[in-house]
Amino acid sequence: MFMKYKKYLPLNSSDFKANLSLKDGSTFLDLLDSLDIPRDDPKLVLINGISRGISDKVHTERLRDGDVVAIFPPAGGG
Amino acid sequence: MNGWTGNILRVNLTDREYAIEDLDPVLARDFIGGRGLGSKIFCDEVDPMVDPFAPENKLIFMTGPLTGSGAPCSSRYMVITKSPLNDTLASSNSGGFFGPQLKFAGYDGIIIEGCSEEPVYLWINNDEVEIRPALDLWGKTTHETEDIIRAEMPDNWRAKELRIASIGPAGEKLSRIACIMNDKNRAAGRSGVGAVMGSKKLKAIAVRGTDKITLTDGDAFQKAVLHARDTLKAGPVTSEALPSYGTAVLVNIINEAHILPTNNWQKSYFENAHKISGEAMADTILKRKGGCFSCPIACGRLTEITDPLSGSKIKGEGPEYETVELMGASCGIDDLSAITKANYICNELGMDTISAASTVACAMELYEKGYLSEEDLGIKANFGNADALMVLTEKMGKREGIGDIMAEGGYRLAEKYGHPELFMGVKKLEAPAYDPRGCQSMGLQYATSNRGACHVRGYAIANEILEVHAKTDPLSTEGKADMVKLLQDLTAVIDSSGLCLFVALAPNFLYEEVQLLMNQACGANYTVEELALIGDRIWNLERLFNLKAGLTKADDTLPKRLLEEPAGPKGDVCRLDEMLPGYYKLRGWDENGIPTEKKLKEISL
Repeated sequence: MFMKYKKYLPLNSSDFKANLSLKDGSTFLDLLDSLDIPRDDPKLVLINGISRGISDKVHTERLRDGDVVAIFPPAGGG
Repeated sequence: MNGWTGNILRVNLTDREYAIEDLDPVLARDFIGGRGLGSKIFCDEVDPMVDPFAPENKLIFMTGPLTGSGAPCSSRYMVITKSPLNDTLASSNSGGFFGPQLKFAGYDGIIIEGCSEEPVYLWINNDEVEIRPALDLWGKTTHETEDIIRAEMPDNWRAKELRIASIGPAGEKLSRIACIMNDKNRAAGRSGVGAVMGSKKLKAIAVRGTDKITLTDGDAFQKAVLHARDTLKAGPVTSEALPSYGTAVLVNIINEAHILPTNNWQKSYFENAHKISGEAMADTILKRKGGCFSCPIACGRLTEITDPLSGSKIKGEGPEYETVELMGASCGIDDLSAITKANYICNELGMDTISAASTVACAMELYEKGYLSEEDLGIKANFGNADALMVLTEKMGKREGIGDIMAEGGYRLAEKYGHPELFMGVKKLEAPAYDPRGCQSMGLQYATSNRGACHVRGYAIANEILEVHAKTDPLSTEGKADMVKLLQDLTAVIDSSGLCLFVALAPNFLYEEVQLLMNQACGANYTVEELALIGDRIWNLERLFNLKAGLTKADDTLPKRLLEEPAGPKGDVCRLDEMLPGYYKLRGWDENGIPTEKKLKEISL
């Protein structure tokens, strides 16, 4: 979790990282729900190092054990 | 003319004469301004085989029709010359306030010819133009130079109105990676343009202007400005991410995408990336954000650190993403203060931070592999050694010790010590901070960019990773030639208009938005199709110059490491060979990358 999403991390996490345990078959939306992260605002999502962009196509995908999920607000630069 | 001033200032430093010439309106229309117009004038007047340090090379400062107009992000000007780093047609872009001030003084651009026997600076105060002695400025940093020139003004207010572009000791000493700084901390960074200015013994250009820019339709232009501003406001990158965290907001993102060059591109992920990110900067060294002329984004960072070398508090601007990444992860360094110090050194001595950082990383790998010794360097230079970064950067800027060869850039350093394959760049231009092994289109972009490895000439990252306009698959090579060409042509238009490229980081800020602003300002009646054609034309103009200067398709390649050593999130190489032939075809070039007669006719070149 980065920038404004850091505050949603569980207590005792490092500054921006946490290991989460989710039920088998959980989706990205389930991950958001488990941390009370609002569903609606646009997020830049990378899963296992692959950017999934900011659209919501990723929302219903099943996550797998060991997946690394990075969540940012939309950002960019040069 | 509207938008354009219609005047070009031509200065001959050999004869110590100047003339104010009319801007040809047909040329202006066909090449717009900035990068396009400056390159066209340059190509018409200069032999591609010229020695970049000879008096026959010219140095052109060119604004765009929108520069100074008050459109959002309308601060930009280009410096065009033949690059002493790699013989390409150099066009180096900068923001700040210098470009608008030149328009207010009544000029679209300045053409510098010949060379002076003694150091001089150019003084422009509306239609007063003087070539003034600069012996007491020679040897001074860019910051000192601006302060001294301002102090010569009769009053404080006039002094503040003065805008200055200058070189530091690096440019004076003809470092091939020297840049031109304006407004103290804005850089026309790449391609060694500062060295050409130094070869002409031109220390600075100071300009003050009090005139107006006329527009075709003021009311309609104002509406277009508000529309553009709203488009920028609606985009999260331009309205939130950049103002809050600056360009270094990219550090964590690019790292999580596993395309963050680390230890001279030996790896593409850096454990301590978060320590050198825009967020870390905001928590520690950031004083406030800063912006260029008429900019609602304000991505600039005004920073303050405790100088790791002297212990006193020092201020400056930056570091930007490229700087913090290439001086940080690519040197194995996570010390933000040391990186910021090295950045300040580059600003004051007048050096391109990308090239300087990359040359240090190259020196570090040469050192670790035993090809460069501690005795050669004067310091141990392992990856991670923050002292080495600061010391070597200073030596480079002053051409002291090992700095003398490092000032020639990473390619010449690596070649001198027998290992050119450790130079991470294309066409001798050091590569920016995105690893093509995890973002295939950037490999095509680096290999084909006319001035050498460059991200700003076709910022495919925007689609591959950030989904600004669309989302593509960064690991696939399919369709990338089309995307890269589109971005390259659009960028050429933006670079010629006088707008900052960051307008294109807002969704929906594409040709139509630029067209709207230009037509209301200039009365040009451009169609979107015509603008796209002009972008293509400018790209080919640059390509033709390079071919005549001796570059060939063999130069459209990538460092061996990126083609052969896997990295990125899935351990891949850059599959350039899957993209390049299709790109040549799309561009209308033959299999040697040479524009065909048919192509040249199509774009009227």
